[in-house]
Amino acid sequence: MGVVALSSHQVADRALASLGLNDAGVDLFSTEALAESLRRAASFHCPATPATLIRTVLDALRGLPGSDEAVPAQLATLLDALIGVGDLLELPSADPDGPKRLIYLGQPAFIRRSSGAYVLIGVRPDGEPLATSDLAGRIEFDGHLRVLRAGLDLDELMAANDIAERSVSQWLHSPRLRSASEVVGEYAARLAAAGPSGEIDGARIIDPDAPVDYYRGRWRAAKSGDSGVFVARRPQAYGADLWCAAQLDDGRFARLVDLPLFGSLAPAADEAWELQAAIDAEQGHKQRVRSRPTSDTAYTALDFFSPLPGWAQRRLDLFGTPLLAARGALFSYSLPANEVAEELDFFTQRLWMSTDTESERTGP
Amino acid sequence: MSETGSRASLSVLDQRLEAHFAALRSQRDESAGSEFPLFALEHGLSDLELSLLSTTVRDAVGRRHLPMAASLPFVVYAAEVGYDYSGDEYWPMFSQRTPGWSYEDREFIRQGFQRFATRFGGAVPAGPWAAHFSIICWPITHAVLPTDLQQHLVRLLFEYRTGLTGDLLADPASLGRRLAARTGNYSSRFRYFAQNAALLGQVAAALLSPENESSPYLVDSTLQRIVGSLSKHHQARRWLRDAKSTANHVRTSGFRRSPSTNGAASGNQPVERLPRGADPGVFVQLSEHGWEVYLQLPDLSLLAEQLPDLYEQLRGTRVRLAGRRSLLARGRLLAGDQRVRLDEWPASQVPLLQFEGDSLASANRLLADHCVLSPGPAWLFRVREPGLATEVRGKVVRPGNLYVLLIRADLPTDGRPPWVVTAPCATAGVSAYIVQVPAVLDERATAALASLGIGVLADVSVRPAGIIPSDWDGQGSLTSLAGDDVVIAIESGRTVTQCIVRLDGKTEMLEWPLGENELFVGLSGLEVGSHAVDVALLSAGVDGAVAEGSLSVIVRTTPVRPSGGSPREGLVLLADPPAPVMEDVWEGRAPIELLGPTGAEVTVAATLEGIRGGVLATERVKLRTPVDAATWSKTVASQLRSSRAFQHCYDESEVLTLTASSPDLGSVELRCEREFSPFRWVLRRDRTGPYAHLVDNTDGSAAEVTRYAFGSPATAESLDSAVSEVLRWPAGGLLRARVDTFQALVIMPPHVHGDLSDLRDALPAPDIPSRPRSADEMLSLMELCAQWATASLPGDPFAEFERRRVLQVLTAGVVSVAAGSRWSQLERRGTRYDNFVFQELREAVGAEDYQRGIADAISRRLSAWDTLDPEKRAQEFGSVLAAFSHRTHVRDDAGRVGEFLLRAASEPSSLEGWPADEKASLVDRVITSPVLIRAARFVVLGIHLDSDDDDPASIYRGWSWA
Repeated sequence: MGVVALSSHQVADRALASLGLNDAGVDLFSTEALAESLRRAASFHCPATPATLIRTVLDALRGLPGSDEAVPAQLATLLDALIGVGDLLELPSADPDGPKRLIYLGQPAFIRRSSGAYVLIGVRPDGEPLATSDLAGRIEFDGHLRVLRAGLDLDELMAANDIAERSVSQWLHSPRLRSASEVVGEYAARLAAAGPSGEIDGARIIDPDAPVDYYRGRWRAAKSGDSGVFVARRPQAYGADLWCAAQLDDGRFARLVDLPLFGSLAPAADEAWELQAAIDAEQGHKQRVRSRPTSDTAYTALDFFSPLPGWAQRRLDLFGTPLLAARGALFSYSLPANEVAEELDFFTQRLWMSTDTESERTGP
Repeated sequence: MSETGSRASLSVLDQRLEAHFAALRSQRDESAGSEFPLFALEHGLSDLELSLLSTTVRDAVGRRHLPMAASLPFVVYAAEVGYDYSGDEYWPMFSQRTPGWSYEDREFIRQGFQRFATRFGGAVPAGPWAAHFSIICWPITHAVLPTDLQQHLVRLLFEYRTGLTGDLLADPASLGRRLAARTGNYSSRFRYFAQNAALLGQVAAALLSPENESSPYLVDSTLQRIVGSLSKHHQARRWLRDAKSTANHVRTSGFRRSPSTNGAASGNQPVERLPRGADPGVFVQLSEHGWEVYLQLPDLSLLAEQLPDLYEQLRGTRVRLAGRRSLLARGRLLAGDQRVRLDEWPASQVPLLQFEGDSLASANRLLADHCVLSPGPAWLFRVREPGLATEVRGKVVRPGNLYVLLIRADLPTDGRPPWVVTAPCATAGVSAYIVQVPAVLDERATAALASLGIGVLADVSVRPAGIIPSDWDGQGSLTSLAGDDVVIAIESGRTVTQCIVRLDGKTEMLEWPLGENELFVGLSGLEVGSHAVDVALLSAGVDGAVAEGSLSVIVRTTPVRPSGGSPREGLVLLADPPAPVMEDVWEGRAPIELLGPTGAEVTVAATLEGIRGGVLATERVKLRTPVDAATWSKTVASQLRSSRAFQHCYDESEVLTLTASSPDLGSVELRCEREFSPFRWVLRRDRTGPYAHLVDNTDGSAAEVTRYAFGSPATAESLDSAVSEVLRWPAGGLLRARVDTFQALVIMPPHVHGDLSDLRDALPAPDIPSRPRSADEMLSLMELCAQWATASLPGDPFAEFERRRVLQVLTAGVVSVAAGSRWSQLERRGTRYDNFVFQELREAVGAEDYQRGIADAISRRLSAWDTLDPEKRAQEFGSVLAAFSHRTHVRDDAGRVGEFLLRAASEPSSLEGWPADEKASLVDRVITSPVLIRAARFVVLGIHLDSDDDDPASIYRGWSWA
């Protein structure tokens, strides 16, 4: 038993080792390490609110080299990505007096990419590693993703570690193809059937008139002149603010329905972000995806400026690799250049996005 | 082989083994110690030699040549058979491999092993298992680790790897105890194996020995043989490799426990109790009723290291939680991370957790010592996010922070600081206050807090840094997993030059980094247990410490993941008890719940497997979560019992696996094995019909077999049955076998061609003769009810149907013994045709005014009671009896009396486990005052007549006791 003074860099090294990332060539505040930190916090604390998981990571990393004011927002975005990919599940809570929805652990599973690589998802409880050391040593960390490169013995390793296969079709399951007006119409109909909501203290809405390229800047309180269907969040006594769809009448909340409305097992944010994409498209300022060449001509980068529902994010996770977000973008992915057209088509069809192309060649 | 040749070979082999084991004994004495036994499997023979040994032993057995003077080859042979043993019958397997073997020769084998133990310090079987399997325990113990248990052991080692220390690896007995405490979720056969903790530890230490080094605990050839078997299983191979890798790391780090660890303070100062791993977490949550107190109860199997029986007690007994009205279900405290809301704050002099009943004194003492709340009268909670606050056990506040304070008495308004504000509290026994601690605290404010027993930490904070801990209360208590580094940050706004850190009494002076407000400190080599960290900050030119702080660190091993899933996941199959045996699930004695988000569609697949693992039958049921125990019983359990495939295959199967899966939530599995018992009935069916066979591994005297026919369920008929005999009985009924302290009960199905109507024609309705009115008669019928109710049920649905009819008749008989002739006539007629008339029952409760009053009171309440569970009905019924206490004499104990009466009148077998003297006393009261049992029976049948809740596991509708 011993007591020894450590420098902040030594603490960061030990923290990386505790995440199994000491040889991964990343620092403690990289996307990869923050995602692993969130997974580790979840393995000890789930079921938990998003705030608990983010606070747990922030508490541990406070004062270490690389910590800055952007980390909380980065963790919030990453947590959404982990829920999107299936590492974590956002589900209704069993406790009627507690928060309405909580984060649970997703069960370990893998999805087979066409390249033969496997995307690993899920978290084991109480700090147990996902896999025994021989498999763990082969996991590559790409942003929030954990990937195993193709190998002859992968299936055997998966079976030995009790990691089941999730079929691609099941994993990529998405809502049926609808027009933006249909989607907005569905929510409007549900709102019309709901009772009056009265005023909602502390509620915030996504401003449909604010530029679609800066997601965080779109949130504000309702004000006079706001009328129609909005995506909103309202506070609850305990837990994260609830996602909802709201009917506003000149800045006043007339009716409100909590999300998810069409299936309790999907994260509420999935419905909210799909609805917002539809509202934006209906109002004539579609959300945007930008493609740009990379230094490797075989790959093209896609930049996104608004969050995506989990079912859309999973396509990118399956076919692409997360990149450091390009300047101004919320997140970015690299995709094989010959598959980009198909993916852009998906986003224009399913989320009514506009596409544009930047010609300047950048990383990765 | 000629007789001479056979005798010569036997003699040569015996001498060869004699020399080998003598040398091995010396070697083990030297390398490990004389306390470490030898095993017959450590024979060191080559394949060829072993083949010769087998041939020689078989030949000798065939010639009836069993010389004790040359018994070593037989001992080795028996151990080799034990190595292949997988839980079925040992002697038939031995006999099959050894033509000419006679069952009477078992004693020769036992004496051979005893001789081996005496001469070479051979292993002596120990634990309750050895007492039950008095002869076969020898060859199985000497098989070291039978093949079917090998994977279990390496999985256990893998799961415990982070808890390994150099001390444990050097002390197999302690290692064995630690490992044995974590076997609760394993199969009953492995749990039996683990009861011999010394053997478990010795084998475990051998398996964890460094590569390419001989183990002092097991001979190389035997160790390699076990490792070789394991290597055929990919998963087991990986588990073992990772566990060995951790063990090697621990060894090379050279860590040994210092003499004064685990929180022991130096000197003779009184030691403040440090938080322990079994203490519950406490948090308060804001609901619409106010602040509510929740306990977060850990998996208490970690205490089983100190009391080996504790796991079974937690598994099989309900636990009373102070401050909560309802009992915690069996096994709830083994599931880990159980969040339980308190109705009121527990009284300080009452233990927080106690087992139901008074018989488990040592376990209750252990719980009382190890699972406690922090002392009052005030409890402090730091608000971590809106509406949620976790306890600060150290009871210190930090300026500027927000807290919830719970306190036994209301705080007087006078003198209360304005930043302490009354808040609504939904938990009785305490008042709640919101404490917004000012950023700057003056002396008056500090004194006000001190008067509440709350201190102030202003100039120093100690917190975990870098590595995300298992738990952190935000202020003074940190929990870390064994094997993880612990790093803390000591932060201060003062000018500091040095920092004194004391860890468990050992003190170090560290230089404070120049110009920094934070010092990071690594704490290495912390053992599982509680540790105290105290810090004092020094500043140049200032006498004494400028600030002091402390932190408690709990290091715990990774909790065992409960079978059926962790509460941290979205889908959980929760059984009561956890890891139930197959028979309890089949017969509905182990309630099962499926927890998950509201409305999720889940498919439950139930699979029966045979002894060699082949799938015999599968059934699938679609459900929407959550599924409570009652719904499970009506849907999944009911469908399984009515499945033709399951009915056909159940008796042949050894494992029932329940798998719940959903595309969105994943899948969880509950594997339920048939109980591994030394003395049991096995039911099979052939073209001639069903038959029973008694498996007797007790090696005791001949079993006494008795049968009770369905038609006359209270009439015993002795059978003269040899153990190996196949027993056929077309009429069917209850078969009971007894030997020494063992009893085996099974329901033998009737042999019926056709359906239920054919059964009715073929079998007479159950009937029992009238019994004289006496307490002994009533108790004896209750005992008979328990035998019928607890007997194993086969897959055949007719057996279940007939047993229910029998239990109804026996229950009516229990009531009739005391209730009087008028009531008995109603019982006889009503039970035969299940046709009771409400008004007749009501009138038959009694003609006296108070008896009519009781019947009227019950009648008025019956429809309301219909919706209550039986336990709550018992309380209400007791209150009715107490309202007529001048004649019923039911007063203070009304609830208990009510429960006894309703159980006796609805399911007498549910009184098993009640203290015998209490039962006898209550039966005496019933005999003296028969209106009590008539009234209870009126309640039971009144609910039965109206209820739609037809749980097949209960005798009467609406009477499923927990």
